[in-house]
Amino acid sequence: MQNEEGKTVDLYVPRKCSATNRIITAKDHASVQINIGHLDANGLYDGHFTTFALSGFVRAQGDADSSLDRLWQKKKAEIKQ
Amino acid sequence: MCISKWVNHGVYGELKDRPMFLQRPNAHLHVRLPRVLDASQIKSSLPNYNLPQRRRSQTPSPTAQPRSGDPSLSFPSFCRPRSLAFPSTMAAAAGGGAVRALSQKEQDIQMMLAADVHLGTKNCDFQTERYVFKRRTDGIYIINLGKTWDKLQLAARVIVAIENPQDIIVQSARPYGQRAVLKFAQYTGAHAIAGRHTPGTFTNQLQTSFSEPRLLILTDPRTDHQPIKESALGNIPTIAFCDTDSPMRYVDIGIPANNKGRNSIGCLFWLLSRMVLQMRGTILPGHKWEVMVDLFFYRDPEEAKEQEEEVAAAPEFAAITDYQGADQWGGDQWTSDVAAPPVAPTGADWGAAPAPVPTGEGWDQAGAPVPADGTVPPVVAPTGWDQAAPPTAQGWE
Repeated sequence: MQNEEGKTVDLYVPRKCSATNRIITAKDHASVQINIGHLDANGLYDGHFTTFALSGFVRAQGDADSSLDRLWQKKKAEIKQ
Repeated sequence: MCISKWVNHGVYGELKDRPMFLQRPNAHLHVRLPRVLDASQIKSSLPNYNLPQRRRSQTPSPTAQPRSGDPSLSFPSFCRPRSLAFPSTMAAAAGGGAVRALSQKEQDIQMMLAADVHLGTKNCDFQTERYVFKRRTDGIYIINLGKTWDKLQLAARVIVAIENPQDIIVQSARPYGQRAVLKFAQYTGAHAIAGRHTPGTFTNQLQTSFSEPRLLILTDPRTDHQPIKESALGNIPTIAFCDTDSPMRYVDIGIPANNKGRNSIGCLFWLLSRMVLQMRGTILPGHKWEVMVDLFFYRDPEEAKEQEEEVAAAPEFAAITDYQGADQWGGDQWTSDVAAPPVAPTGADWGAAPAPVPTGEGWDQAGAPVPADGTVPPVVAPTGWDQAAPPTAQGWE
C-alpha cells in the first residue's frame, strides 16, 4: 500500500494473477509463475522471456490452460514473436 | 483501480453463490469473465472462441520455412488436417509430377497423422472442446493437429526458458511412455521418473528421492494424478498431454493429443525434444535430427526376446567356425601323414642297426666275463658259513 505521499510503505508487495487480477498471497502454494522464452528470427532462444503468474484458484478450476493460451496469444501479437 | 476493484468484488461475489459441483455454464461464464475488462476485446475474442478453426488463431511459427504456392492451399491444410492430401495432390498435378516441398509444420503434422495422434476418445471434457476438430460417426472426437503443434511450440518455449535442464522432471507411470520419457530426458538433460511415482516425492523432505522441480512434464493427467496433486502443493508448473476426456485441473499447458497409443506418445516426445534442441541451437536450423523416432517407441518384451534369439543365432555361427578350426587341425594331421616319408630316413638310420650288431657281439664278450665274476662269489660264501659253525659248538660245551 501507499501513504499519502505516494510512496510504497510495504516491505512485501504480493504478485497478481495475470488472468484474473487476484492477489497471489504468500500462502497460495498452488500458484505458479511460468516463463515463456522468446525466439529470434532463426528460431533460437535469445535469453529473454515473458512471465505470467497464475493463482491457485484459476488452476483449480482447470482454466489455467485456456488463460495461458489467451495471454500468450495477445502477448505474442504485441512482441511480434 | 475502480475496474479492478469491481472485477475482484464480482469474482468474490460469484464465489459465494457458486454451487458445490462445478457446472458447465458457470465455467463458461468464468472463462469469459476476464474479457469484460476491455469492451473492444469482446468482438475480437468471441469469434475466436466460437470458430476455433479460424486461420487467425494459428500464427505461423518463425521456425516454419517460407511457403511457396497459393496461400489458399495452405489455409485448408492447417484447419483441416484430414485433407492434407489435397494440397499436395493439386501441387503435383499443377507441377506435372513435381511434389511441392512441405514446410516443417506440415511434415510434423503428417508424422502426427501417421502416428494416430489425432484420435481422441468418445467423451469430451468441456475444457478441451476448443481443440476438437469434429466428431466421427462412431462417436470418437478428432483433435485439431494444428493446435497440437502450436501447443508443442509453446511447451518447448517454456522448457527452453529454464536455465538448468536438471530442474525439469518428466514423468510417466504408464509402460507405453517409459521409454519415450527416458529418451527425452537423455537428449534434453531433464530428470526422468519412469515407473511408479512415490507419494511424497515433491512434498516429503525426509525421502531420499525428494526434489523440488521447476517444471513437471506428464504423459497422462489421469494416470499421473499423484504428481499433479503434489505440484499443486509446491508451486510447480505442469505440462501434460491431454486427451479429450482428461481432467485439466492444475494443468498449465495441455497439449491435446492421443495419449493412449504407443506410437502417438513416442512421436509427441520426439517432436517436443527436437523442438527444444532446435530452440537451444543444438540442432542447427534447416538440418535434420539424426535420431530416429523409433527410439522413442515402446517395445514389447516379446519383441526383445525375438531379437535376443536372433542374437543367439550368432554363437551357433561361431560354433561352426570352431568346427572349421577342427578341420584345419585335421589338415595338420594330414600334413603329418605326408611327413611319414621323412620318417623313412629315420628308418634308414635305424637301418644302420648292422653297426650295432657288432656292438651286440661286444655285449656277448662282456657277458662272458660276467658269469666268471658270478661263479667266484658263490664259492666264497659257503666257506664262510662252514668255518663259523664249529666255534659256536665249542661255546655251548
